[in-house]
Formats: sequence, C-alpha cells, structure tokens
Amino acid sequence: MIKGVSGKILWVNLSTGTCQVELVPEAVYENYLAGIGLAAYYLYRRIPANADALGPDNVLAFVPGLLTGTGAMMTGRWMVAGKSPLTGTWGDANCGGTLAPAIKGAGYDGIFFSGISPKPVYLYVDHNRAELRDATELWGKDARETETLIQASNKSKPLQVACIGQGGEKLSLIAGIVNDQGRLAARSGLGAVMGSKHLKALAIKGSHPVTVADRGNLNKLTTGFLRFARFQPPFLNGKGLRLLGTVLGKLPLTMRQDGMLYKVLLKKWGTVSMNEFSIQTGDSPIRNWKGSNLDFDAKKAASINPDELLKRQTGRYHCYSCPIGCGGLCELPGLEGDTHKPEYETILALGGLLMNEDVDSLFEMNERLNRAGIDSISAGGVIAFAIECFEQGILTTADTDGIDLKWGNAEGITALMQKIIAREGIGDLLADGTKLAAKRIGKGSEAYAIHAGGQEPAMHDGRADPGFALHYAVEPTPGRHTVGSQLYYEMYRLWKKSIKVPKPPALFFSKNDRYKTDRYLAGMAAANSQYKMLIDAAGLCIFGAFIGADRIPMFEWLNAATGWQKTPDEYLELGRHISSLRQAFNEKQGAPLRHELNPRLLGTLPLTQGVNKGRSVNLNAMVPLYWELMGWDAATGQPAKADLAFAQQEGSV
Amino acid sequence: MAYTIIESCTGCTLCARKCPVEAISGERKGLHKIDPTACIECGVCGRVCAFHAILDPVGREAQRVRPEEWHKPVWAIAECVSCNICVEICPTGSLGLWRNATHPEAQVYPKDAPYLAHPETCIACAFCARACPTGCISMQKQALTVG
Repeated sequence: MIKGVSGKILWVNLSTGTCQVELVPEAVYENYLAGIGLAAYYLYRRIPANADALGPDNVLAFVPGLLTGTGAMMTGRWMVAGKSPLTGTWGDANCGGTLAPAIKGAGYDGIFFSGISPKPVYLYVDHNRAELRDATELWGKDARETETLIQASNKSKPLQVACIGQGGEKLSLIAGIVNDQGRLAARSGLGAVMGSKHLKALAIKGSHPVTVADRGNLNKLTTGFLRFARFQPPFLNGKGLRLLGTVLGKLPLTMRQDGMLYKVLLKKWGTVSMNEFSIQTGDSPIRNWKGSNLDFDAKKAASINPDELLKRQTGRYHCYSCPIGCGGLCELPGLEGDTHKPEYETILALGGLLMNEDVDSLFEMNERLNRAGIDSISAGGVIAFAIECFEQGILTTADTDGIDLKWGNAEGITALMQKIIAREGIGDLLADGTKLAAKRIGKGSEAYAIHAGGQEPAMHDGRADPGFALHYAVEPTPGRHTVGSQLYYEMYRLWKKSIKVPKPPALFFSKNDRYKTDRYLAGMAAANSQYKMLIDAAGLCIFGAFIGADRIPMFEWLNAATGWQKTPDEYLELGRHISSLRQAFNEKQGAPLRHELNPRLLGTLPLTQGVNKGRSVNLNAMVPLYWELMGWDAATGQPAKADLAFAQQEGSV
Repeated sequence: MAYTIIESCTGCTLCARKCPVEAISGERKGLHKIDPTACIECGVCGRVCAFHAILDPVGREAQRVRPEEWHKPVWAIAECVSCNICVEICPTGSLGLWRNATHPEAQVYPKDAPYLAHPETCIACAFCARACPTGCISMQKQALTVG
C-alpha cells in the first residue's frame, strides 16, 4: 500500500444509524489520488442517476487531502462534495480551518454520508469509535453555539467540528458548512444537503501520525518551500495598492503576474488586500454587475481600504499547516470572542455589488452569515438581485415588509439578510439563490438574476479576465472562481514543470490578447482545470498554488509522501481524469455539460463606462476548444469512455 | 506497529489512565492489553510503568521516566511560522495559541504562535517536535509553565 493515506474511508448510513469502515483499494489512489478524486470516484459510482439532491440517495463526502498531515505545508484543506441542490450538478466546496487533519488523524481518508436520519444527529469520531449522537438539543442553534456546545461535552484533546447553522437546517440552497467558528465550505449549497439528512455536525479528533514513504526528502522539500513562504519585503501601503490598480486598469498593456507578489500581500493584509485594487482593475463587479469602478469610486471604497480593515484586526488566523496566515481575527462590539475578518469575496459581495460603503454593516453581516452557515457570495448576489427588482418596480415595499431596498442602504440590506437567514417573508423566496427567486417572482426578473448554471458567481469579472467567464461556464461545478482564470494560470507557473502546457510568450502583452479565441487560451484553461483537481486531491490551498509550481513542490511532495515516481505530466493526466469523472457525474445526473450564464456576465450588452467599458466575451468558439483540449467530445462536452473505464468497472473496486 | 504489554503487568491501570487515545483496556489487578489499531505510539504507557511491563514497537523494554524528568516542548519563537501543525498533532490537547493565554507574559509573544498551555497534561511524546516543519521545537526538561 502506498504511504500518506490510511486506505480506509468511513461510511455512515444515516437512515439505519450505522457506521462502517470500507477499505479503499490501492488502484483507486493510483487512478484518482485522494481528496476530491476519492470523492469523485465514490460519488460517481454510488449516487444513482437523477438522484434528488435533498433526498436519501445523495451522498455527502468530507475528504482531507492526500498531503494533509504529512508535513507538507499549506495542505490543510478539506473538501465536501455531493450533488448540488443549487445547480443540479456535481457540487463541491473547500475550506481550510482544522477539520482536515482531524479526519486524517482519526485514521480516515474520507467520511461519506448516505440516507436520511429520522432525527437530528451529529457524528462523533475518535481513535476508537465512530457513532451518531443525538443532536436534538443542537438543532436550531447557530454554528458558533453548536461548535462551542459540542466542544464543551468533550475532555482532553479538542474536537474539530464542522456543522450547519440555520441556513442548512432550513434547507436554504445557498447554505454552506462551517468550521472553526466561522470558516465556511460555502459553495454549491451543500449545507442544505447536510440539513436534508438531519446531520447537524461532525465532531472529530485524532492523533494518528501520517506515515510517508520518504520522510527525509519530504522535510527537505518543506524546508526549501519555507524560503518562499518567509520572503516578506516591506511593501506598498493600502493607498498605494489602489493607485497601482488604477494605473494597471488604464494601461493598454498588461504584465504577466507573479504570485509571489500576491503571497506578500496575503501575508500582510489577507485577501482584503485586493479590495480597492480589484475595483480599479475591473475585477470586482459593482451594482449587480451593471455598474463600474466609476460608480463605486475611491471615495466610496475608502472604508474598505486594506489598511483601514487591518486596524480592526487583533491577530492573524492561520489554517492548519499554513505559514502565511491570511485570515484575521477581529473584535466585534457585542460579540464575546473573536469574529473572523471578512474576506475579499464577502466585502465585495455585500459592499460594491450592493453599493454599500458601511464597513460596520459588512462586519456584522459577515458574522451573522457565518453563524447561519450561509454563503456570503450567494447572499450578496441574491440581495443585489432583490434591490434591482425593487428599483425596477418588480418588488415593492408591500413585498419586502416595508424594507426600503435601495442601493447602499445598509440598514435595509442587513434587515433583508436577516429575513433570508430566518426564511421569513421575502427572505423565504430569496433563500435559494437568484435563479429560483427569479422563477418564483417572474415578471421579467430573470434578467437581473446573475448566475452561472444556478450559482451566483464570485466577485471576479469575466469581462476583465475572460478566463473566469470560461471556467464559470464549463466547470462541472458552475460559477466558481477557485479553478482558473488567465491570471491564475500566470501565477500557477505550470510551464516550469511541464512542457505540454502553454508557455506565455512574453512578459508584457496587449490586453486585447485576453479576448482572443485560440488554442493557447483554451490550453491554459484546460491546464487550470487539471491542476486544480490535483490541488484539491492533495488538499493544497489555492493561495499556496499561486506561489508557483516551481516554488511550492506539490508534485514532489506527492511523490515523497506516497512513494510514487510520477512526473508532473502524469499527475496532470490524473487531474484530467478526475475532471472527466465529475463531468461524467453531470452526464449521469442529466445535468447540462455547459452552463448557462446571465448575459451580463459576458458583457453581451457591454458596459458604457469604467474600466470594463466596451468589453465582451464570446464563449461559443472557446467552449468546444476547451472540451477538445480536455480530451472530451468537442461538440457535446462528453468525456471520453477511456477516461471513465476504471470508475465504470463492475464489482467492489 | 504498536506498544505491547507483557506478563509482568500487575493491572495497576496507570497506563490505561494516561493513554491519550484510550487504546489500553484491562481489569484492575489483571493483565492489560493495547489495541494495536488505536495505539499512536506516544510511549506514555512505557514512561509511567513501574513494573517493566511495556515493550516498544520493536520489542525493547520501555524505560520508566519520573514525570518531573519528562522533557517538554520549548519553541525558538523567531523560527516559528505559526502553522499550527504542533497544536493539531498533540494527542492530549496540551498546546494552545498565545492569543488565548491569560498570563501577562503572553503579551510579548505573537498571538498566532503556539505554546504549552497545559504542561500538566503534556505526556512528553515529542509529536510536536517531530512534526514541526521548521524544527523550532526542542524537548527540554525545563518547559515553560505559564498558562
């Protein structure tokens, strides 16, 4: 058996209340690695066709990465996967925090839930036992209360908890799963799947050291990586970052980005370093994707300047095994304990997207959404949709229980968010995302429902970087910003490890080159998709991957941990196979293989002002090229039969 | 591989009480047994056994060490990158972060850095020192005793 994994997964049948250990054949790791690959293998095989995402047939998987616990750094991500009730497709979400090492330490490479429990339960796992415990008393509690109560019932080593809040309990299709007092695996609506199964939480502790094949080499690789992690020259202040964004936004040329710069910014400010910079470069959508950087100008955005936000931070937050520590802990008036610093996505989704410049409201909404376990990206998207409907007269104060839904009205926005959490009045209508809300409201509101295949896209505008738009449309889980873009490809630096992937020809190039339809750009996107599957199989943080494949030795760590001698190209082929399996999952479930995007995301009617003025993206020729380079049918997007041969084998494998 | 218990065991139950993962079972005054699938090889059973009844994973008799002689972790804090690997690997939950410490000395340390929050529960397994990617943890007889 290879090292770095335990070779065991835990199956929990919630209908019968039983926990069973299943041994994973080595060939499964050989074909799909661990982490997201392991989840893809079992979910593809065990979720029947056309399953109800909120029914007993759906399987919910919690998987740490192959590298989690091995001594490799920035490898503490845990992935949750299942059929998404929000999009009807493959759904996954990814979170740092503390859960991944606990699953691995308890001796499992994954925990899989099937069925529906007749009453609320939580799963308790330690070295000796895995059992379902009554959660009747926990049902109705928010995520922080739940975690605190579960931990209080335990002695000695703390339990690591992942749980749902009111969002998941009330089957809000934009609900996520919460770990460590407010870190979320937010996307794909998998919190609702947990709620549908009456599974309130997982509580896990474990201290089994993970054995690796070549400890000496693994540690040596880690020491080499730490040189880059520690590199931290004094850098620009927050205002300087905004000016840099303004200059880069205006120049007709652009420059290949080096992820070391982003690492430095992350270590100093966290993801909020990008707030004003991204508005100025056109990366951040404004006013429900209809506004521009001129609408949310420097004066309005001054309150979300990274230096201003840092003043509220009392300490850094590091996920497990991370030397960067991009998270922050802050004090919030009226709250006992710390609140997690809102991330870039949350600040822009509840800020610029809603024209809201009230930074206090951002902190408060961030905490409330974290407690309720609701995805702040989708929450921002659906509130933006409601405000635009209000502006257009489709919704009135009679519909909103008197809330004056105006752009930038922080009080009204906060009140609406509370209704969404509680599923009260109009909140009940909005709690399942923009696509369903528009369907329920009708009256032409579909035009304002900005979604990709049912999911609200993240705060990265495909009109500024068409790579985002392409991935929003073609990934088996639509609307996701954590797979690829042209910028991400530059930072991944995969061409340093593989000669098969496209190498950027020049350091400087025209911005117009980003909008071409060619094999070079499609090849970049295909490489992104394949690499991201490896990242999620290894449990690597995408911010670690941004440092560059030649600096963060993921391929080499994988070899040192497992004992394999695979080349980066062989790994990328495995990444492609994992993506093929997720695409085949969608085919089996009758879900679309190319996802519908609201025309606003593509600039079909281009903006008339601001940095993205006149920009539009045409994916019709790019999608077939991408499919072809993924080895899929260029006309339909169906994965090749050979890619699926192993997963389609009969029998117990 | 795991630690094992031999016939010289008197059933004093001390090892079972100290084992952080409840891997040891047995009746009082009866021969105890270690579950090899649960054992994490921390070695605390051997360090506390006064009856030479514990063998380490390669079959050598484990040496008893008096608790006051146990070596406990000390951090070269300038080298620490706050990755929390030590905190998570600790089988007894003895480590914490300085931000949660109430001792006045806590002010001088980075809030996101780890420390021995509960020296009284530390079993001197050195898991933290072995797992530390920077090598900044050394096991020393005199550990910090603030909390």
